[in-house]
Amino acid sequence: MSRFLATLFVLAAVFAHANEPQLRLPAEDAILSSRHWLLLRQLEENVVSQNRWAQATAANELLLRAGDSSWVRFAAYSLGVDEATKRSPLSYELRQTYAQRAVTLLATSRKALPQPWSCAQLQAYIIVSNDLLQQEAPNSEPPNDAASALLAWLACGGGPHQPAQVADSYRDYLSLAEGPRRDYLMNKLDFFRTLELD
Amino acid sequence: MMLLTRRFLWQLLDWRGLLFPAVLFLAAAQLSSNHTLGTQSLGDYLALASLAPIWLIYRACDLSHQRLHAQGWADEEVLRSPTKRLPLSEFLAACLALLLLLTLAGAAKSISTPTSTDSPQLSYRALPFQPTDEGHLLRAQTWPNGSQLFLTLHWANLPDPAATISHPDFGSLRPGEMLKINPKLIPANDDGYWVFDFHKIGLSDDQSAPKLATDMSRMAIPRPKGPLVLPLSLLRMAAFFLPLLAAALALVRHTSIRPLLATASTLIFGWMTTWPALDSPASASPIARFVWSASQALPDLSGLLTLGHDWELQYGTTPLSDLLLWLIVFGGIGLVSLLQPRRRPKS
Repeated sequence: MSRFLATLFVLAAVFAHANEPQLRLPAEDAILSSRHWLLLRQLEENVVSQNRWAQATAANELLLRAGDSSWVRFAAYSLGVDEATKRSPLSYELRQTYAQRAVTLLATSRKALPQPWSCAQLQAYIIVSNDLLQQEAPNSEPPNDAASALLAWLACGGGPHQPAQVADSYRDYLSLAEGPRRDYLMNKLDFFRTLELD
Repeated sequence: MMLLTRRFLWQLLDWRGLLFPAVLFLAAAQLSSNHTLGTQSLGDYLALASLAPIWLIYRACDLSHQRLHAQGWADEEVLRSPTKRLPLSEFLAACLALLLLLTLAGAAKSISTPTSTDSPQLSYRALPFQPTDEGHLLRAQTWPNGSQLFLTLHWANLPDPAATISHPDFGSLRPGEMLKINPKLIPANDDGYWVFDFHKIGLSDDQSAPKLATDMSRMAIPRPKGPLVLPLSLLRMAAFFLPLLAAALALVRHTSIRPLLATASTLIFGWMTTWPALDSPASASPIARFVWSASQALPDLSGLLTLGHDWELQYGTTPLSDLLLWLIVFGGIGLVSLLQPRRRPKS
């Protein structure tokens, strides 16, 4: 009887875990930590071999599976700035693809990133500096993704420990009417275009 | 008694009993090292080091099971003598072995990777907000001392963007600055949730109320630092495993279940005390809800078992009352049942 009850208890816990992975089982943390380390090894191999695409994939997996976000920004920067900018010897199409991948990586991982404010700024920078989305409508308003990323960055004052200038910019933005607000963001994004984030 | 304890201790920590923990601690220290290509996380080290007590519980159960059922082992006549307190000596020896192993774990970590000072002071965590009609909900829970909630608000229109707006629950709000709140000062509603409703700011136009940007809001947790963090973590781990050790030995002694099953069921019971609240209980399966509800009746021990990449979330969060309840009541039940005379099977 006791053997049956103990088995039933173990099976119930395993079923509960299978349905709700949030409920941890013994030794699960050790397995996850080992996996964290293996993913780091894989990522470092990609960094050394300069396989940027695989680096971005591994960084995203590290974030999702191990909660380690430090590599996402680095991977996005490598793809969207190191590889995709006009100085790169790669073809235009490949550079655009790399930049788009970097933006997607930052946009999709924003919810899980510990410090999303710094990534929002980088996202806006990559979009603007690589002329993404403007291909479809060259004379259009500032790209929506870039504008919303920039606005998100301004709204949090650039992060919790940033100087007050970013917060002032957001208040300046709020004090404007609807039309001038777009111009204001456009000016800010144009400023990003002139930056060299090296 | 001393003889019994000593013999069981040597049996537990013979070369087979020590080889696995020694290799484990060295590998874990390298894996979590700051100087090699490690994860640089003490939580990862503790996660791997926690395998040693698990291994010890299984080994103690296995040896105890062998003594109960096998014939011809060393000092059998002495140890089977009814005048000797065999179960208590086994428990004491296993306790000593646990403390020795955890001391070894601390030493291995301290020697291989001296405490680093280069990691950031704060760790930021995303929060599972739930949007509702009355605002955003967040399940109220205990956060480590010094934690701060950083909320980003999106404003649409404001009569005077430079002004400071007062909120009855959260104090002053300034556009463009993150709202900083001490989570201990937020009252929870009857369902155990914190409600973030920003329509209460007293502006005449309802459209002017800010919206909470959940993807840009985080909890900042101070990263535990100092020479006492590792020993305290290991001591808490010992406090977590001691009642389980008594329970596992009692199960093996009084029931006919195998050591592996006794270890597994005892450990799962213990791990249930660290289960977090379900983010969305309604969407969980019935069995998950049932087992989770059962776990809510246990004391919250997540602060004793701070493992993995999010270890600082739980560091030092277990209330003293829960710790005492665990040690005295649950440990006491395990110990008393262990010391009960064993029922002989009918022949």
